[in-house]
Parts: sequence; C-alpha cells; structure tokens
Amino acid sequence: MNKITMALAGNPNAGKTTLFNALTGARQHVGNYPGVTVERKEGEYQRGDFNAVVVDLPGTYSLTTYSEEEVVARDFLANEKPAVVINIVDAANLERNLYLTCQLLELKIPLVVALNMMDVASDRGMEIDAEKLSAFLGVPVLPIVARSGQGLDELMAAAQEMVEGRLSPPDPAKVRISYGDDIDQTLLTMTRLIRDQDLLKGKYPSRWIAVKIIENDEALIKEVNEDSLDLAAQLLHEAEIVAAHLMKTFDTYPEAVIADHRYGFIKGILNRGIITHRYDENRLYTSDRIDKVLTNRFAGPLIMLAVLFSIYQITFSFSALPVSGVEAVFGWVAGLVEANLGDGPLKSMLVSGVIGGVGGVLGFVPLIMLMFFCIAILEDSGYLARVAFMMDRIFRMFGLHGSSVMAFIVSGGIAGGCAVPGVMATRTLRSPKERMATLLTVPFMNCGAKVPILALLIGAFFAQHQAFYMFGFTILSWIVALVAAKLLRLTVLRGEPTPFVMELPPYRFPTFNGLMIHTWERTWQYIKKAGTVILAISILLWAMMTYPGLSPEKEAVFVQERARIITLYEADSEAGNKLLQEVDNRQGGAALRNSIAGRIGVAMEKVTWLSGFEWRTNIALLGGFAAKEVIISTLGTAYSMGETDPEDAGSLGDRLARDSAWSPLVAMSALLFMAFYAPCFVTVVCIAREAGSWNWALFSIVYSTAIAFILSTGVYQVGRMLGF
Amino acid sequence: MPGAGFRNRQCRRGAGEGAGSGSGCRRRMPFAGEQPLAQAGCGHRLKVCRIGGGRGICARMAALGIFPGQEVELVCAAGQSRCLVRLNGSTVSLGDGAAENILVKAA
Repeated sequence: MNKITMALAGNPNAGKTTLFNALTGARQHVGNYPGVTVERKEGEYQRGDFNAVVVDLPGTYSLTTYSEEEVVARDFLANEKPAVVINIVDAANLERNLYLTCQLLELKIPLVVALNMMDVASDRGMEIDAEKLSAFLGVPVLPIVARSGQGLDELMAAAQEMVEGRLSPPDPAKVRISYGDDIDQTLLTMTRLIRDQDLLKGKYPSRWIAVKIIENDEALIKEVNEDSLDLAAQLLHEAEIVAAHLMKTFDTYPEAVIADHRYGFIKGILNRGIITHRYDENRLYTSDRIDKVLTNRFAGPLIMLAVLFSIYQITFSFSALPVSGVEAVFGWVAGLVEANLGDGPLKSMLVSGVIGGVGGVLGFVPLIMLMFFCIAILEDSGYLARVAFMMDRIFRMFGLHGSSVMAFIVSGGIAGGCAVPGVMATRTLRSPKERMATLLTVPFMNCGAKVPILALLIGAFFAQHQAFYMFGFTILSWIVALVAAKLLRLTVLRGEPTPFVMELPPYRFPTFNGLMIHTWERTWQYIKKAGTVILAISILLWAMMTYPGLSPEKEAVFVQERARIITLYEADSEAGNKLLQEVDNRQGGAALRNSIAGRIGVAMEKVTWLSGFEWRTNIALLGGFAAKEVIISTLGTAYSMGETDPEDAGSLGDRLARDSAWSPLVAMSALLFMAFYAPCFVTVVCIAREAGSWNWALFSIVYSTAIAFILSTGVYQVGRMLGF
Repeated sequence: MPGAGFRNRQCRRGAGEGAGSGSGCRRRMPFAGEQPLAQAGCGHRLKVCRIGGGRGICARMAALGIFPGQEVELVCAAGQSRCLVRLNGSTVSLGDGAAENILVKAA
C-alpha cells in the first residue's frame, strides 16, 4: 500500500522524540528539557505491509497559537491532514496532557492515544485503566513505555486499523465538551454561521473555529479575516458579546472559562475509576523535595555556580592526558610524512595544511567530549530546566527571557556548543523583540570551536590557572552577551518583557546509553566538521599562505647566505647548523609575508596594531570568519611555516609562547577579540534566515566586531601603559 | 458530570473567609484573604482567585492548568514573586512577570 503520514503530537517532554526514535530507528536528540524539538522531523516506519512517514511535531500544551511551535504543529495537522495522529500522553501527568487530547478530539482528526511512561506512573503508585479511558474518549488508548519499546507493536496495530478504516475517527457526540450555557449558546450561533457560509472550506470543524475565535486565537482570526471579512466581523461581534458577559458575571476572560470546562471534562472522566492512587495523591514527590533545595532563592544560585565551575575542573583535569596523547599521535604522523616524502608543495600541504590544520582541531576532541558528557548529565537529569528558571531572574533584568537560556547554553553558554542550533533554539521565544535580542547575542557564547582557542592560548600563557581562566571567560561571555542584549533592548529593540512560565520535568537518573548518545552525537558533529569544512578551508588558506612564494632574486639572496655559512663553518658543526636554521626561518617568514594571505595580514596591521595583533594573527582572524576552528588551524600553519624541524618545534602553544610577537598581554587581547568578534559565516546565514532579513545578519557582524575590537584594544593599550 | 459548572469551583463559594456576598474573584483590587502566589507560604494548598496581566497571559496559564478556581500547591518561592507550583501532577515554574499576576487564597 501507499505510504501514509503519521504525526506524533503531545505535550513538551511527554516522550515524542523517544517514541519517534523507537519507531524509525533514528537517533534524534532526546533531552529531559521541554521543547527539544523545535522543527518538525520526519522518519520512516515499516511493519509488515504498513509503511508510514512519521512526523515528530514540536511539543505543545494547546492548539491555540501562542508560540512558533504551536503554529508549526497546528498548521501541519490542518494543512497536511495526516492519516493518523498519535497523541503521546504522559501517564504520570494525565490531567494536563489530556487537555491537548481534548482539543485534538475537537479537531476531529483520526487519533490514537499512546499512554507513555506507564512505568513512572506505576512507581508513583498510580494505576490507569486504559480500556476505560478509551471508552470515554472514543478513541483507542494504548499503554506504552517508549524508552523500552514496550507496547509499540500494539500501538502501531491500532494506528494501522485507524488508517485502514477499521476504527472510526472520534465520535463528536462523545467528546462534545460543554463550556457552560453562555458560551454554548454563542457557539451554536457561530457554528451555524460558519457552516452556512462554508468558512475556510471545511479545513477545520466549524465548532472548533468558533471555540478558537472565542479563545481569541490571533492566527485563526487572521485566517478567517482573509477568507471573509464580513463573516469575520459577525463572528468577532458574537465573541465580544459573550466575552463582555463573562467579564460581568464571572469577572474573568472566556479563555479561563473554557480551560476550566475542559479540565472539568477531564476530571469528570478521570474520576470514574480510571486512575487509582495507591499513595496519597498530594504528597510531595522526590523531585519537589530536591527542588526545594536546588531552586532555593539563596542556595540555588550558589549551587548552580558550583556545578558549572566543577564542570570546568572535571573537564580540564581529566582531559589533559588524552589531549596530549592525541597531539602526540598527530606529531608522530607529521614526522612520518616529513621523513618519507620529498620536499615540495605536497609535503608542505600535508604537514602544514592538513595535519597542522585538521590535527589542531581534532586534538581537542577528548576535551570537547568530556564537556559534552557533563552537559548531557545536566540536561538528562532535568537540572538544565531549573537553570533556565533561576536564570530568568537575571535575564529579565537585561531584557531577555528565561527561555533564552536554552539558546545560550546550546550555543556554548556552559562551553562547547554551537551557535547554529542555538540560533534555531530561539524559536521557543514568543516575543519577537526578545527573540531578536537573543539571536544577536547567542554568538558571543564560547562555542565548541572557540573552546580550543581558549584552551590553547590559556594553556600557553596562563597555564597555572587554566580552569579559573576558562571559567572567567565563560562568565565574561555571559556578561558581554547580557550587556549587549540590554543595550539592544534599550535602543533598537525596545519593548516590554514577557512572563516566564515553564513546566519543570521531573528529575530523572540519566541512563548511560542516553548520555553516550548525546555525547557522541555532538562530538561527531565536531569531528565531521573538522574532516570536511575545516579541511577544505585549511587547504585553501595553506595555498593562500604559500603562493606566490618568493621572487627568484630574493630566493637567491638566501641561497647565497647559506652558501657563505657553509664555507665558513665545518660541516655539521653546532654553530653552523644554528645559523643555517636561522636563515631558513627568515626565508620561511619572508615567503609567508609575500604570500596572498601574508599581504592581506600585513595590510590589516594598520588597524590591528592597536590591539597588538601582528599580520600572522590577522590571517587567522580572517580565516576564523569562515569557521572559528580555522583560527587554530591557521595559527598552526602560519607559525609552523618557516620551522624546518616540526618535531623540534613543539606544540603550537609552545611556539606561540616563544614567539616574540606574542606575550601574555597580546594573548589576553587576542582571546577577547576571538571570543567576541563576528559570528562565523554559517551562523550569520542562520541569523539572516531566522530574523527574516540580511540587514540583521550584517548588523550582527558589524556590532560584534566593534565590541570585540573595543574590548581588545582597551585591554591591550591599558595593559601596555601599566607595563605588562 | 463532565464539564461540571465553572460556578461551583470559584473562590467565592470556597473558603469564603471574609469574602462578603458574591464578590470574591475580581481582577482589579486585592480582596480580603487574597495574596500574591509567592507570598502564600510554601507547602500550602491554595486556590487561584484571579490572573491579571492581559488575555494572552491568562490564556497561556489556562493551557498549563492555572486558572481561577484551580487548586495548586506552592512548592517553594525562589525570590520576590518567582516560584514553583505543583498542580495536576506536574511542577510549573513561574518567573517574576508571570507569578506576580496570580492571586490566591487558602484552599
């Protein structure tokens, strides 16, 4: 049979993505944090002759469009009319989850309810009668445990029956929720008007349209307005009358009355012996007891700082050994190439371009991996959601929103992320201005590409207090981002703050498997990028740093100099070799300076001397706009050309520390510039797409480079005055 | 009965200490016995009386299950008005802007 479409809908954190992975064999990121799925994802499911395209929709609490996720979910359901919708319901939290179910039923779509996390519910002493619930809702209800795959076959069998028409779609009579006399009367009138004029050509059931108009759903009202202005005016008038009446009699908005009746309907069903509690229903769960401490107004922030700092301690103390191990491997490979290949462009490209470039980036894999592992623990345990809640207080002061926190952390707020998914994560923000402010400030975070730069320079110049400096730079990146956000919110993005409301997932013990998958999928992204984009850019930059090379006349000067030294000293004498080496270095330096990249770097010195950067650093900074990883690889190439004996030269860090153009002050200035200047090219493209205009993307390049330049120049000039 | 009346679970028919005659839940002035959510004392069962701050906020809270008449439990206050509440088996965190709009009274 033909492939059908099957959509997964449900509350945030109800386990949609877990089910999606179980059905399609995909390995989508699943986190214990609401709203991990921002875009809809597709995969394929096959069982016997049943073939389906499975679509994982973003989690929503309702079908009223308050945020981007709800718009995505509702548009999909209404426009693409999936053959069957699986509504995933968290069994441990039935009342709130069934709220969405009610609305899906009212939408009259073919629905199968998957009662997920039956194991958690049972741990909490709840027993749920799925058959009885099915009888009341009028749709199949199947208990599953998505994490272990229990019950999936039965669920899919029901879905197949629904698709093949052996089960009937929801019976409207069964799920007709009464919203009280006043609203019901108005609904009758409105429904008749909608049906008579065939509003929106039957895209939605008419009663559902009426309910949404009374609920003041702006997206729907806009749609209705576009279809028929006259009818829209009539319907809105009806809605206003009932709203005014409710305000007079109950002193509240119709939304609250509707919600109250929906919950009343749900409670009415659940009270008929569907749930049996073995324990006291109202006792505080372990999660709440932990929260009493971890989100305490005084202890909470202190614990949060301690947790974040310990991540740095763990990462740096445990990764030092493997990082030097990987570096040694690349050094050995470079030595092999050096020994077995004849001099020439190929050898130079392999040693300086490929091994120096990609090797420099891959050397940090153990560190990145450990960092991701720690973040995975925070996310999977549910602590990250608490961090968002606690940070909302600070974010509010700076004109951002608690939901911005996830975008910041994804971008590297704790260290080691990527601004590209970070930029996409801003979709969970509802206020356009708060969203724009978040978009423009998340690239300041220390992404996975900046961490190696920080680690390199801090390791080379401030080795005694690595974790401290690293932590300091993280805090600084937050300060810069928050101050920038505040400035934006006071000038170009002025507006009121919106309130923070978020459901906190219960604390869960992270599974080893889950942690491994999360760590690996993020690390793999990093490795993949090193093998593709970074490799290509490294080779390109190597070519720019190699050609056109020295003119024959200049080269002749060095040849003569060498010949003179050889005649003056005995063969293989120490003094002679040292002088020869020195000539080689000067020749390499002169060649680099004469290359395309060298000339650009030298030209840039006219401005960058203010921050203390020499031309070789400028080349790296320019390359860093393509991808931040390139900074390391370019520094590696720029400072290895002219070294004839790479094994003797030591690591890049050592070379920089010994170079006369570098000092701790220059390193500090460079760290500041590299941390805050223009986002990489891919991020800029994403910002343009998310903001809907290239102007914002260009703005982000200009303003962040300006901030970086002011900071680094300030530090460098003041430092020089103080005699550093 | 499914969809049982809104009236029955309104604050004014609730505890009613000093509630006077039929004027319990209002949006405008705080009424006797009503207080901001975060100041109600941790671990108590509370009844939501009203939600201010405009239609959008009211609707969003309702989708999460916070609406006049609903019982909630304050898990802990994490600041001036920021707090965690437990309702219907889930824990919801409310930032300053959200929590300050919720007025409750003892259930």
